[in-house]
Amino acid sequence: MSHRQKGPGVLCRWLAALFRQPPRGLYRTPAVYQSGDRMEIQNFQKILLYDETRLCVQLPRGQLTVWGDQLRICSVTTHRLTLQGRFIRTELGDD
Amino acid sequence: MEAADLWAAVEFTAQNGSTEALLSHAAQEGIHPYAVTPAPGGFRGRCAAWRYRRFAALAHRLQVRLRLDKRRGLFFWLRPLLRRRGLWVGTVLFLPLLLWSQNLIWAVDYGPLTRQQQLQVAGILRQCQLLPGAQVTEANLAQGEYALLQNGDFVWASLNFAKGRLRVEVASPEPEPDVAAARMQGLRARCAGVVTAVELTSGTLLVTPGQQVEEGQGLIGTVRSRKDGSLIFQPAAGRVMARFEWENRQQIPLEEALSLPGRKRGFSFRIFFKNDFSPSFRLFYLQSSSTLQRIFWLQPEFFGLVLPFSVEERLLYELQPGLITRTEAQGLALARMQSRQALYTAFPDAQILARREDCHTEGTTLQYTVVYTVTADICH
Repeated sequence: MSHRQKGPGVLCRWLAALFRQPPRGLYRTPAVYQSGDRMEIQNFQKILLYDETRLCVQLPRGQLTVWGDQLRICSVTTHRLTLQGRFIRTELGDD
Repeated sequence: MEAADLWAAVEFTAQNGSTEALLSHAAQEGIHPYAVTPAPGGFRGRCAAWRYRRFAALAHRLQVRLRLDKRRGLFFWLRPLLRRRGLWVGTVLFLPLLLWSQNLIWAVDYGPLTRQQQLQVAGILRQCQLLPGAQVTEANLAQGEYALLQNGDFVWASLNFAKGRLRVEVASPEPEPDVAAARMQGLRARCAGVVTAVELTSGTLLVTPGQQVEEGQGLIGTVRSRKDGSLIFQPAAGRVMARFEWENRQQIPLEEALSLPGRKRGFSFRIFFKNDFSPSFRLFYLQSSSTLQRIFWLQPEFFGLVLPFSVEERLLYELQPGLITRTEAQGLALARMQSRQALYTAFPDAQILARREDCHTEGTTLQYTVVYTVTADICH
């Protein structure tokens, strides 16, 4: 009897795990990816500062500053910014 | 490289004011600038040309000075052409005109015909109004085919017209087979000689190699008797090759008075298009008995593409009495050529073994006598 009661529960859990939703706000969280001389910054809010050696963007919580050399913005769209250049360091700071 | 670069993109420089805010707002409003590089007091970048107006308005709002540096892409290359209405009207008119002119002869395809045959066929077809620029009808094609057959040099003729190209196919008569050329009265010798080879196709051979034959002597007979004495009749056909001497005399004048075309007296042009001639353009054109008229047909080309009309050019030359003088060497060469032409006309398969010639000048005439030793078919 206990086996019968357990069966549907496992199936439900398995299905729930299969179709589970990601954590709330996952797709809106800022993300930074770097590959070689390219860096992609997702879900930024606005560009605060940009010159050849520095890019500072406003994130939902804090600021991201990328230090480097010959920085070039390959493309900038609503939620994504692709940066190219020689990166030296990145800095995450509060507002 | 972005796809917009290929079609229409602009390269700009943004200076002064809040250039970072301009970048942020542009990104949020979907203008998507790309290839952004820092510049003194701002940045340099590119965007699709159709978004530049919005981008400029945004820059104006943010008090950023925007300067357009360069236009890139195929659109900007074509734009000067797009503004030319005549070009488009010409293109629109050209296509129906091209379709309509498919019914006209643009080119004539003669296939494997020799140059001489091509000229002959072109002359015959021109009389039937089948020349570049003519509008083709079934009646015209049939008339052209009949004209080619009636000429006698062709045993079969076909004219096919499709999409501006007139294809001419003709067949020359094949030589008659030996058996078909056989004769019922036997073959005789055309001239005296020594038989060198025989080739019997039908009939009875009357000579053997090495035998001396006289002019008119029978070479291949038509009658043969069986062992029982009864006669068999067969048509005579075959070849009897004989070695013989063939003599020819030529008289070549070393000075000859001729009427030669001299100064051009005038010319006229007419354009033939759609089975009709245009009014002719003439200049100093007065034909008389002392003039020589020469007609040429031209088909204009445009960068190698033949056009569907013909131009008839008539040139008028004034005939002037002239004296042609030849040296003895030139006269001798001419006499030799004429003698050979006479030999090959008489014996088309002749092979020359030896030549003995005598040449002397009497006054202004070169007397030439040649005796060729040849082997040839002497059946007649």
